[in-house]
Amino acid sequence: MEAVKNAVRMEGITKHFGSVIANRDIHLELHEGEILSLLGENGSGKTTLMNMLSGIYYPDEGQIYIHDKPVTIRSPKDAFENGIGMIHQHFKLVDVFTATENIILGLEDKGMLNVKKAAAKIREISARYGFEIDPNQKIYNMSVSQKQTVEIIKVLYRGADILILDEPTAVLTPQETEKLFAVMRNMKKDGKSLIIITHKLHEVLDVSDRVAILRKGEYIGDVETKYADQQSLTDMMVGRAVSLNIDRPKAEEITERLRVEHLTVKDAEGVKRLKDVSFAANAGEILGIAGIAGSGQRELLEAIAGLQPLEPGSSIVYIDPKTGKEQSVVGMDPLKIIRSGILLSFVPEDRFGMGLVGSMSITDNVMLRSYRMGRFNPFYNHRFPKQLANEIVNDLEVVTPNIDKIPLRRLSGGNVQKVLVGREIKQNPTVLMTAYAVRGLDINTSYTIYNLLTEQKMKGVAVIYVGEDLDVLLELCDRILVLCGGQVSGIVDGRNVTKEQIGLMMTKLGGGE
Amino acid sequence: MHIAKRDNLPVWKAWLIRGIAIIIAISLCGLITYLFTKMNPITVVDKMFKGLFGSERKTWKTVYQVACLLGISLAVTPAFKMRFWNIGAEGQVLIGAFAAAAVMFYAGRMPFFNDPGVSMEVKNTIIFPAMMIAAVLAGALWGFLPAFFKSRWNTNETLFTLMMNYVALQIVKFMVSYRGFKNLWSPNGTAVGMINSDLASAGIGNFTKIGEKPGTQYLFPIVVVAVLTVVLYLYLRFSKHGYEISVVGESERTASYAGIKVNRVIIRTMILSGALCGLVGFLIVGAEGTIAANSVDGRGYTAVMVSWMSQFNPIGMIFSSLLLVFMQFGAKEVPMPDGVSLDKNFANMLMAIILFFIIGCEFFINYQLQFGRHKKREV
Repeated sequence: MEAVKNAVRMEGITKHFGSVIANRDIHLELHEGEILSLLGENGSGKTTLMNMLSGIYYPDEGQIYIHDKPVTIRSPKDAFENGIGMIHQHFKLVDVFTATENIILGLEDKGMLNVKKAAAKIREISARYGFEIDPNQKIYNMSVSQKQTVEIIKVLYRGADILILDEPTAVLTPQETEKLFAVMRNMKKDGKSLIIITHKLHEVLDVSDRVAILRKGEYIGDVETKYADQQSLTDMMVGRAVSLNIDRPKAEEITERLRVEHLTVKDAEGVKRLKDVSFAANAGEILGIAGIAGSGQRELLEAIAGLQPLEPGSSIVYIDPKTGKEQSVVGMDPLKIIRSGILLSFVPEDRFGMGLVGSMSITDNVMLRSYRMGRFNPFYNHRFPKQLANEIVNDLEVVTPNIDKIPLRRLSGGNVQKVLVGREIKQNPTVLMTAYAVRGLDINTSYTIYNLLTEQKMKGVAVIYVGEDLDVLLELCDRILVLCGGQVSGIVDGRNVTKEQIGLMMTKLGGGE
Repeated sequence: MHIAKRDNLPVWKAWLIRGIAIIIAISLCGLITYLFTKMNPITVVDKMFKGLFGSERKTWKTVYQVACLLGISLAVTPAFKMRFWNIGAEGQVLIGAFAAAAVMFYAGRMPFFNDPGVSMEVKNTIIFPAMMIAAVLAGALWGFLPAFFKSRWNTNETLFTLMMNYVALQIVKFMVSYRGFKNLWSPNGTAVGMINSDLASAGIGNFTKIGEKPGTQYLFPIVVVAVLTVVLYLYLRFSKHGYEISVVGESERTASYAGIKVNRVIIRTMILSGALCGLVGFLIVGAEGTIAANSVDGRGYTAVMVSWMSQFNPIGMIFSSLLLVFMQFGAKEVPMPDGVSLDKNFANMLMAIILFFIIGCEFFINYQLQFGRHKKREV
């Protein structure tokens, strides 16, 4: 057998952030001409490790070898000189520039700027690997997938032969993901070595040759993809056997709780983010909302929560579960909604930007919902939120040194999310809206949250679940509303629809071919 | 060498670092004092101390100065806790002082207050509340305007409050120095800014006659500020308003998500800040019986520093205002060999050194420097 050559070898890499060890003594190899999946739960140190390869962080200990030569990578420039290119989760592109301009931006070529020559080179790269791109298109006219393409070409243009893709599929539809994987396979054939970070196990199995697994900052091991399956990978990742099934019981009584009709929302620039959206959310059901990132999910939930100005003609009606009385929510701000007795809970997408206060303790954050208690008392009640905070910490297994001193920002992302979800569920809502409720959570906690949502559903709560993982949406939700460009592309039964059908509806209104 | 964040420093270690910083700062101050004045630093401190606390009257006056600075620092704190960059305390105090002085002035023209048949106590029970209300309203207006414009048109509050300082300053300058008004302010035409000297010397509209002993004119402001310290501590720490202020300061979007009306909180808090500044203005006029363009004398800006140094904790502000007052006013009490005393500029220099160390040491509390910990492993 031919000896494998290593494109990258990382030896004994350790990285601390304060007292936290992000990576401990990691040994990782990337063979030449292979696609390696880097798998691990959130906070297991995947991105940190890759950032050290691409020059964003510098390791505390350890040595990196590129093509078996020891190298020191102190900056992204050093990384490029070693042929390493990283495609980050968040794109770093100038909106008003064209693809070509973005790609050649920052290159230190001597002499005149030759945009035409650059465009020709970009076309050549595109043809070689099967990208579809117009070099002269401006970034702001591009879809997320096209922007990602520009980022990849940018790296290739600079001559990278080692590519790192950090969760590239998080923002893509299944169809776009397929295209990306095809491109990745072409690159592999061309002799490039690739590392892909992803949480989605079926993608790992689909695209990679080998899987390396990290857990809590440590290197657990690697396995050839052909010998792995979803269950075995999960067990390695979590460290013990995990059940991967979501229970989806049917509620006995399903009644209308929230009726949205002709909902139109414009943003500050006057662009319509939601166009004529109509649907009903029912008690005893989880209504999934699917769509490419930025298709109006955020605006939809914020509109219902009273945080978005609505255009005339929009109607949101809340049906009281006890009296059956219909009440319009249009024009109400969050305070008015609370005061009208509408028990609306909302887990927003941007935790610290909206749902929580990072510098405050768990108790003070829990108090955000209850500090008004006792209308004529100028002082707040501290005992009740403390008790509630304790309940949340116990019920959801939040790991924290204390509940009333440490600022929330110091907790890990998963624990922060648990506090937020816990607080919202503890309000005993009649409508529960969640946006990306499991983002940043490990598999185990994610399943805890799914079960909590189902529990709420069975209690007669109308649950709205905005999610990004289609597999979960299909397993969890009773009905799925698909958004496409701010419009309802369709509302389908979660029990008999396929991922491909939803994928098509996400990219094209109505899902027609 | 590189810098790493640390987040689990024990409290005693943090205070040890702060203690060391203050010791270094004081030693450096002593060295500099010696180099410039050739005086023994211990003697200097001793003289400062004697000058400030040497007699009962001096002690009263010093505590009063601390109270003034502390009062203004307390007043700006709610706004800063809300991340509203209010540097307008100078103007808010001054306009409050001006309003109080104006009430005092007009009262002097009323026959009632000149009637020898009415006792001083009766006159004062009428004039003090009137002065206070006027001062509080004027200060509140000075706080309200920038907050209103900020919430309505998103104007920059730093520039706005700064400009309001100049407006207040020019109003006062104009009123006390314009020739036509000179006689108005002081009927004898002598002391500019001395209001109604006839009434004032009788103890009406000022605190001079409140107690028997010398220096007790300062008792009233001191008591008011002491009460204010406790009230503000409770307000910021345990009240619903205080909680709302913290949430708005941290994230306006989180605040609106929780049903807090952000604009209302901003306006309400700034009115409070301005009103408290105005109250301190009243205390200054009452204690000093005069108004001038330099009545506030930069304390509106120093207060911002006091507030931040104490990390918005009213109790901590007692100590930081004491420190700053000791440095600033103490230096004036130190006679030099050539007959002039050390002046305020020298005191400011020393204060800058101390502040540099106090604020600078926070860096070492939050971060640690690592030297040569990077070990390359050759394989």
